[in-house]
Amino acid sequence: MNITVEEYLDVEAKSQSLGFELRGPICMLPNNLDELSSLEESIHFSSALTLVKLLEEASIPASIMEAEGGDRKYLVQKNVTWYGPVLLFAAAEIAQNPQLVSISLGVIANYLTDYFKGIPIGEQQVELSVVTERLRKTKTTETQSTRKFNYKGNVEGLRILEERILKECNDDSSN
Amino acid sequence: MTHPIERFVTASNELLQRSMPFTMLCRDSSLQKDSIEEIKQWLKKIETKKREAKVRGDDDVANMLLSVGCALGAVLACIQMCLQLKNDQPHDAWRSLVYSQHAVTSAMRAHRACDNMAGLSEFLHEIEHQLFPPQVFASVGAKFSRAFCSICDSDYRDCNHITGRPYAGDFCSMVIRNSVVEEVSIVETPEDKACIVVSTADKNGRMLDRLSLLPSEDSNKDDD
Repeated sequence: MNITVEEYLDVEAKSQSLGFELRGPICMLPNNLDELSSLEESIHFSSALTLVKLLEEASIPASIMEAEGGDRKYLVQKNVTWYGPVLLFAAAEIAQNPQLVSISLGVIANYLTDYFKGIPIGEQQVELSVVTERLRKTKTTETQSTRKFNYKGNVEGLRILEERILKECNDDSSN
Repeated sequence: MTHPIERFVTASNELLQRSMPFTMLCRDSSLQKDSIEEIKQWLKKIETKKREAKVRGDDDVANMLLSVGCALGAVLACIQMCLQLKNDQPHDAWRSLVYSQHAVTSAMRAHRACDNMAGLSEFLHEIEHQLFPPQVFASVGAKFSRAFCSICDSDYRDCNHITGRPYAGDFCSMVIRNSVVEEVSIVETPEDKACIVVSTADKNGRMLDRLSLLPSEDSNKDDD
């Protein structure tokens, strides 16, 4: 299992520049967001289409950052590894509903438990990224930064990813 | 009193247990052929009962029959693999093994009735490594702009069906009608293990079939 954390671009500003309104608690970001000059160029893994439905089943509205009804592009990899989308959890949404990350990753883990039935444990690989926003307030300033958690590992390890995300969110709120 | 469908599933499981011994390479070929024939006849009955359940709107029974049918299909393909190996058809045998592994996975996904198939799944992965050389797998990455639902044929975005789940005896999958291949890679864990590199060059530059080790031009890839 491997989790890497990196500073990420300002998603709010980028989406505004692309003319996309971020809405709902979860948005699936294009794999190539940092390179985009228009939404027509966005590429998502095909799993984004399924994950929107799975989250809706759990009463969590989710959207995909892509062109409205235009030329959309999805990527499919004929591999046992499940390539998940890049999930954005907005800071305000996590503050409002602290269970959001747990429930969403739980939905993914449940789906993947069925998806991997009969596949040797060593071959059950998941790749997924989660983006969270961090708001830091001092008496005089307010700064926002964004982090991207890249996960590679098995289904069980998604709990560790969840703990890591929540720990960092809590560290932020206690600052 | 037991429900007729429960009796049918019990009988299916008995057939499965009865057929398992014929998944061994050493068994007599004519007995293996008889076993294949018996399973084929039973699979026809399963299809009929599955259609009836679908018409009744009994989705759970239809999924259970899908599951049991996949499990029996896995055993049938495994016996076929034995016969093909005995008949010098290594490529057909490989494809049968891959089908068998896929069928057992499907059986486990389709219904809890076949939750106990983990042993067969492990057995099939073990014989992959015992009976065949390490394979070099190829995998495709492709882009598409629209996918359709295999269950209701609507745009996959617009329906409630989830790919990989069973619905009234059929699995949902995304049907991609126009795609552009982006890349072909060599991977360790492909989705389709039938995509293998079939020949390799020896030290003299002669191409050899990777399974039989015959010169490639003499190997018919068992397509008969």
